[in-house]
Amino acid sequence: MSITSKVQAKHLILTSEITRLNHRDIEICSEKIQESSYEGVILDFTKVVDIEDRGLRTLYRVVSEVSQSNSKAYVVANSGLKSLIKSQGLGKLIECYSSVDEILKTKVNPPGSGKKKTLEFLTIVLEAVAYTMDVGASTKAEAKDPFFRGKKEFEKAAIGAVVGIVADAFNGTLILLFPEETYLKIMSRFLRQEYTTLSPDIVDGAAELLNTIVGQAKIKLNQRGYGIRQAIPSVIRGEGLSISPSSSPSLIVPFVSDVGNFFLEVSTNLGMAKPEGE
Amino acid sequence: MFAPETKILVVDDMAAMRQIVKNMLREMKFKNIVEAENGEAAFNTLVENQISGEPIQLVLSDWNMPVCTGIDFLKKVRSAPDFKSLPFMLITAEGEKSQVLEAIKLGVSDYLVKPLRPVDLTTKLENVFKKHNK
Repeated sequence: MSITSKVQAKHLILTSEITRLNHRDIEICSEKIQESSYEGVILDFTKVVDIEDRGLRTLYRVVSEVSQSNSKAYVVANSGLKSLIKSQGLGKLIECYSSVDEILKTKVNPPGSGKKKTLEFLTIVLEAVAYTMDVGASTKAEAKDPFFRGKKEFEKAAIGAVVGIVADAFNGTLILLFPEETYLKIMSRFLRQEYTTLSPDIVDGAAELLNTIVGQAKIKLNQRGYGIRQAIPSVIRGEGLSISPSSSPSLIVPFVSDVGNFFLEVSTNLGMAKPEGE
Repeated sequence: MFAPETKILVVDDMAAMRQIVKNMLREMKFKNIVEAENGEAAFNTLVENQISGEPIQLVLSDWNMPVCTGIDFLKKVRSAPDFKSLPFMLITAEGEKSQVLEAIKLGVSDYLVKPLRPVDLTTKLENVFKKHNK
């Protein structure tokens, strides 16, 4: 097979395994690009020493079409191929890089993008919490200043739910925690009947709330290319719940509401770094 | 709109969610509500009620369930001659376009996205009733 493909960091990477490409080989690349939908395309022509004239014109067309569809196309070329592209007057139209790594580091995941993604992820999840509490449980909940786990003590939780987040470019965990009194009041509104004890028919309510929150967040996050696959949440219960979800830093977001406080704990490997001194 | 004595099957693996749907239906004056906790149990319930002469007349099913998902349950229902035209609504936490399209292709009557609101449930039930009673 002259062109192999794989996906990395939401980009389709098409690698030429041969050294001389013709028009048909470039058309194969075009077909693979059209079959899929990614944030960008990387044409890894590291091994290529020659592209026939017609192939170069097709390459220019493919790169232009990708750019017009609001994606990005990058070409990896050795010095010989770069000179060939330049000699055909296409040097400014087809951007060439020396390796796939260079493209991923400087264009796809530039420094600071991890923090930006974390902030975007967090904002969307917190909006989903507020929306779900409002519409599902008629409860106005407001997020307060978050803090890293270990930095502060927070109210003991009696019940909650945990869900793993698996996405194209990261993994994470969300934990929703409630003190018992707050939980009973929220469940009374959520289920539309009065509950004064943790009866069996409301114990999995926390998991259902978290399931709804993640579902709401997932719609917006996947529109932004996060590629999140949802798992089914599990209920967690005990006196003074304390969970360390993973080796990644864990951010706790306290919420205040008219029925009491509750907490969302977020842990991802998106690049959520503790500030110095914390 | 469906009559208050309509026999409704509510399917969800989470007891809390079944309770939410049941309470909303009761507020709408529906009284005849049965439950199941996954698609397989739900299909058995459909068959048992059909045999007993008191068939289920409307299904409200969750999407993501263990054992048998809502979508697999829908496929089973639409392949069974007795239930081909049974009003069937799916309740999903996600509401993504691809999911919805898949359900429509399989013959879902309508769908709801969580969190549920009574007004949305009422509107959807009215739509489904009109659709199945043309």
